[in-house]
Amino acid sequence: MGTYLVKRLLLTLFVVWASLTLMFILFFIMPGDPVELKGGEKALSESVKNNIREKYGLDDSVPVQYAKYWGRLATFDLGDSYRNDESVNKTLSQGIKTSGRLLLWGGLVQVFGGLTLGFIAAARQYSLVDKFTTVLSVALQAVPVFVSGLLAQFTFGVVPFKNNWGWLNFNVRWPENWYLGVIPNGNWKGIVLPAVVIAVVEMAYLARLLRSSMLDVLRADYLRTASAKGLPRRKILIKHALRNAIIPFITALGLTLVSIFGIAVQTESVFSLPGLGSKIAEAAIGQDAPVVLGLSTVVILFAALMTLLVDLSYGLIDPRIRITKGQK
Amino acid sequence: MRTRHSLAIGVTALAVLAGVVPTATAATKKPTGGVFVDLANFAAGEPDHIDPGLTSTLTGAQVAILMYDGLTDTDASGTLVPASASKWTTIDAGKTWVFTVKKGLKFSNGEPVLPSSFKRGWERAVAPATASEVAYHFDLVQGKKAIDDKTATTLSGVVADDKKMTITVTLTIPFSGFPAVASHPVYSPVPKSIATAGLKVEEEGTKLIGNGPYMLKEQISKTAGGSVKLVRNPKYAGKKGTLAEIDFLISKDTTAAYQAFQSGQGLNAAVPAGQFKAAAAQYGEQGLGPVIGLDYWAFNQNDPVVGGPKNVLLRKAIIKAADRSQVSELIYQGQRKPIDQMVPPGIPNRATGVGFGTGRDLAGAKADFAAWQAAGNKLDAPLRLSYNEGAVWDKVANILVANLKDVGIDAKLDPFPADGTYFTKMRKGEGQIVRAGWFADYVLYDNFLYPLLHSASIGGDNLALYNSPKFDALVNQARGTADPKASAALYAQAEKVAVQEDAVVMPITVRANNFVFSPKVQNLTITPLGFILYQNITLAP
Repeated sequence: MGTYLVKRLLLTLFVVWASLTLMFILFFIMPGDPVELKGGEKALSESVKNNIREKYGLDDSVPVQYAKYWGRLATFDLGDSYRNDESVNKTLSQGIKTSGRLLLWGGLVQVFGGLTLGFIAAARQYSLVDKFTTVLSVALQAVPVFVSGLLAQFTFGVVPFKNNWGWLNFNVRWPENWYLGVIPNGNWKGIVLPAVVIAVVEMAYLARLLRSSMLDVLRADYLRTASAKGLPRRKILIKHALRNAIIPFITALGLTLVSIFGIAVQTESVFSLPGLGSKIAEAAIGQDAPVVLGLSTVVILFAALMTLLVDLSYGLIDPRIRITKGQK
Repeated sequence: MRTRHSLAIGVTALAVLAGVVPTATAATKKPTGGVFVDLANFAAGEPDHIDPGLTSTLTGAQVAILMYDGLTDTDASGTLVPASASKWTTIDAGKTWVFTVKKGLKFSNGEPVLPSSFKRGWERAVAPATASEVAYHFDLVQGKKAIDDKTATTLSGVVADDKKMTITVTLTIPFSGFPAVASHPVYSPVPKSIATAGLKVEEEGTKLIGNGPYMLKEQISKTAGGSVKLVRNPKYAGKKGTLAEIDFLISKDTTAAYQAFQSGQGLNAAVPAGQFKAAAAQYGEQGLGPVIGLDYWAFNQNDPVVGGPKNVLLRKAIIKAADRSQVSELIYQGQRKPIDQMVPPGIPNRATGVGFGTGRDLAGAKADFAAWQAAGNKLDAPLRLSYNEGAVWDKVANILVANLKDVGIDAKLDPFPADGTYFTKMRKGEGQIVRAGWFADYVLYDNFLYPLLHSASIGGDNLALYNSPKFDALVNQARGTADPKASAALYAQAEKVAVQEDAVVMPITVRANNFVFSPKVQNLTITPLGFILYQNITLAP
């Protein structure tokens, strides 16, 4: 197990290095010039352009810039944004907090919702609840986040404000203060819409996955036998069917927690949250290399670690997958 | 049964919490004068800077002008008025300017505002290490070139006398408009402490110290979801701001910010494209008026098809064929009005009648096109309307293509990717009929003609690559003419040469503000440059 862990960690480090190097190279291959982008509609004089290049080290050769980049990274200095000089470390620390909270609450809604809907749909196959869940799943997956986000803001913000239904107005600012870093201290309503919007897309997928997985398990001989022997339906569903059907759900959950970053880009934009996803997307468009590379480092690390954790968790959940001594 | 029961309890708990538990914001006692929560200024994205020496955006400058007072300022009518300077005069017909700084002014940290504070601020802005995008506003000041060339570190043309409270500025050429140029935020003073604070002072809220009516309340975050909070500057010697606090919230998406405004999160917002009429009907037109800026198309004078004197009739035909009203109504729902000249309304002593009229002249267009063809010219390929993707310019170009078809001129869209290289390519002459736009830096005739059409601006913002000795001579003469009316007359002549005689540009619409305000907002003033004078706003209970 120890050797396996070391190997996986080394592989993770290699993936991080290769990904960042690739991104660094791509940045220089991409058309456009970050200095020209700063000028926009108004021209920059040559002296200003030179000053900007010098300030950010863009006048260095690519290998020198690459070496400097890793040198800075080794001291945990991610540099400053080309666009507004803001420290990437600061952006990162703020972004991690916001994205972390969003992913936590969104993840909770996603897991709870996915489990509940999937379980009910499987337990009552072909019932109204099952059909509704299936239709809802397809609908939620089909609607882009920026549409569902704006729709949610309108329904639970604009309409209630117009009609003085303050209790239904959930389109309020993201909380500024938090208990223990994750529990909103005031303005709790501010997390509801973003968390639900970010959760619903993958929640629908997870629900469908759990449903089909549970239905497969429920059709197994040993469960038919258990049912014939008079084991209560509740026990069959929870202890046997759900437990055996949960492996693909957890695998998918690990992957959805990574892919949720993609959804976070739009959710953070629609709700103006200072998260990592939207910042990376914006920086990429603006060719703001320090921000893109700096923030991507964390995302890549997160993705690699999530994959590692999911792989390791299999052994804990299912004894058949445990790695024993002598196994490769 | 149990599931239903739990669900009912959950829903009831949620409803009770929603109705009963007060939010932190609601519980906070508001200070005298009120808190203005702004969802308009940074609605479309994060600020570049709020440091007056660095910001190159209107949104950043909006904050900077609340924190800093320059020597001069522009009032709500566009008139140049004193700010930190009590008076100014030229001692040699516009080449040397002497500004007298008011006594008793202080920065928010208590340090007195002296002429040397201005010199310090200016030299900080032009220093190569600052790499300020707006340092070009000092190009006419003697000594700026030496700093660019790194042969000097101070502006030799600026002499600050703290005893006499004067700052003397010597220019490289006589320029009557310099006091207006000095109203730009980049001409702000800075205190001594800033010299040692580095260039990232705006991140550390306490170090970006100004002399304006407001000051930073706390450390700012320039990321969406963050905010820039200003409070009254207790040391401000001028008229105190009416609002106790202004919170500029940073958003990423105009539509989302507008919905936040409509949900009661703030007191103003920027109106998303396509919603101007509905917004005006609901909130009034006070924040939807024109600003000194325009959208136009420039004819590349180096292009063999549309450029040069031999194609002037073709250009006139295109200009006369353009239906500006159609662009105004279909794209901007009437918010941006048609214009036929390069200098928009709002510039003092502005002359009219230097273009071909804002209406469409189809007969004139056809006659000019026929005359151009009769001279032995013909179009071998469709004309290219070059623009950058990602905004509404494709829609404007489509209208123009249809307009030209009515005259028999074949044209097509020529999109360039939105990767920031568009203007560089246009400056190199890669476009044919080039989409362009301009916001005024200061209320000055010169600000539209020199950068956009003077030959010295080729490679810069002169996207027509227009090089006319006649035009240049008139502008140069106007720049050196001290009398405002005589100067304006010369600028008007120059504008007529470029717009009517040579027809090198096709002005389309005047730019406009896109703000809406809550009915609670009173005493609202917006300057012709598009700045909201928050310091005068009062809030209804």
